[in-house]
Amino acid sequence: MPVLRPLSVVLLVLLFLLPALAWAEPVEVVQPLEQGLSPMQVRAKARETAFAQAVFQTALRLLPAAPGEAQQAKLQEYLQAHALQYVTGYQEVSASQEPEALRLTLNVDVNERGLRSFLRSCGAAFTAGRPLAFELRLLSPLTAAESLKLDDLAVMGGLVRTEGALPSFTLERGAGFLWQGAIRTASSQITEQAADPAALWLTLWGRYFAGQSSSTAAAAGKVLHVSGWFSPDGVAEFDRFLRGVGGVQDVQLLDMELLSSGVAASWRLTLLDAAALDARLKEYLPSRGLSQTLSGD
Amino acid sequence: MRRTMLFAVMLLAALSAALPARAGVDWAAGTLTARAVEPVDPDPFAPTGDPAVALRKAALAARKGLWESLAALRFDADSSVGDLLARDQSLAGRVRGLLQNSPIQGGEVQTEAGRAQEATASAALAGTLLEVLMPPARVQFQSGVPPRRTLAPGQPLLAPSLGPLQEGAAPAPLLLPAPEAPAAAVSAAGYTGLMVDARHLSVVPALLPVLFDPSGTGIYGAFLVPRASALASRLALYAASAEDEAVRQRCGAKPLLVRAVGLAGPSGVDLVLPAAESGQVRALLHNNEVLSRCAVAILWTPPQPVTGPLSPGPGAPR
Repeated sequence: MPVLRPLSVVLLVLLFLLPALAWAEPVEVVQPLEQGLSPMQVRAKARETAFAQAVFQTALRLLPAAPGEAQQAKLQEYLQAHALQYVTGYQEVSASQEPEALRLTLNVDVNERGLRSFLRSCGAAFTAGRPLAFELRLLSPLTAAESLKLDDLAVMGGLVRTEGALPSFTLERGAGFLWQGAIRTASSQITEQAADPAALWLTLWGRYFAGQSSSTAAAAGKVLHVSGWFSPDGVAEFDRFLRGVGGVQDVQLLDMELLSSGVAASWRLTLLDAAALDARLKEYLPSRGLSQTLSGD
Repeated sequence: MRRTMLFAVMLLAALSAALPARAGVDWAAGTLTARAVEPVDPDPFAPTGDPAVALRKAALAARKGLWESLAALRFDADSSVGDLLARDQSLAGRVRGLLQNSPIQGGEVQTEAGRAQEATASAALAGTLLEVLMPPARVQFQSGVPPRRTLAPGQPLLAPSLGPLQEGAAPAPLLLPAPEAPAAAVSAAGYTGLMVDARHLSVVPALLPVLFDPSGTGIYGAFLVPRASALASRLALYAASAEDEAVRQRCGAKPLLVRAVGLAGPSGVDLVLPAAESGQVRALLHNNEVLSRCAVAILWTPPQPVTGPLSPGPGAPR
């Protein structure tokens, strides 16, 4: 990273102070009134729905591409049950009682780091829009419930069962109550054991995708430099745009410069899909008189 | 530090010296456009002798024109977009950012005075801009609860020259259910949209207009439409002619045509529809497909464009 000029440092501090960069997305829910539920219970239910909706919306925004319908449904189902883990705070914007429903608007703060980590370990961060073929080798029989659970986890992780594909996932009952599992790729094998097949699945695929994550991040740390604005306001808005682009993660504004030729800024980002970023930038920048360069970290 | 001062001086000089931009709204296409021209000084050593500097000044003036044009728009019957921007600094900052990233086209032109740089900035009245202007906390879409307005009784509704109907204190809207359309008695089957002819009235286009029946109960407005549809298409399209292609696309092949009988307030934003056709309009607006397309067009008479130092650009009202 180049040495920051004093002016850039001042601007960087100012940018961090911009409230817009920490702007929480408002979520609006309409909770139908139910017989037997007190107003407090209806409100609590509406809040739960708003949390689940906010966490799911954030998850979709963090994914590099739109997941398929089935994967999206399973992710929503899972996050609905685990939404509270990822909510760090909320602010009630408005609440109004309608004849048959309560309309509640909240600003929900979501722990993006934790959510991103989950999306990586379950595989969705890598398979959204690009399902991964794998072979399932069952060496011991599963109950119907266990089988259904694994099917759900596979769909959520964007994993498609394909005969003869790599990686292969092997599952068999070991000694005692433990299950043994392994994921084999062309170059490596990960093994693990756990008390039930679903836990084993999550642990093994988590380790598999953690490996993918570190190799991808190491290979794709980039610095994007954009110039051509006439006002610093343009930089803050582009920052929002960049965070919404599929195919990039960990977007961080490095510095902003006021030059005689205009305003320029640089971002560090993790590039997951170079083609997706390139397409969005080509669509966005030239028509606005902006130009960019993308370089290694 | 010197660099900052130089930039600030250049920015101020550019803003103060630039010619006023010609800005306008195309209510049929849903776009704001502003165009500015900046002469290039024949003396290449003069501050404005560099075409790039002139282009930058023109672009700044054009985007300033966009801002002013947006601020002048009516948001709804009660306030203008400028009122919202003045009240909410965070919103104003967000909108400034969007306009500073607005698409811009520019290039050299020849004027009577010589070489000049021209810049045209545009912004769509849809998508992110509307999303920022209409957060759920500010506008309740699809509440199903129509607004109520007390319309001044005894005033002739047809003649706009006699002045619009006056707004009265509206009763609390939350407890007033929407009147059910007498579906059995009134049929809107086969109609693909609603076209309100208000060319005989002094209509002021707005982002959130409301159509009322003569009793002062809302028939159409944000309370009926899904937020996503309004952000994508705006609640209603304004056009000068029923033959406009945009009207046909919006309202389909067989729109229900209704002639407005008056304005529902001094702002000129909200319209009153005749009692005889209100039931049919309500029946039509029970169709979710019509609502999801915001298939409503208001025919109006745009004001004559003001002639100025620049020839009318693409932003002239349509």
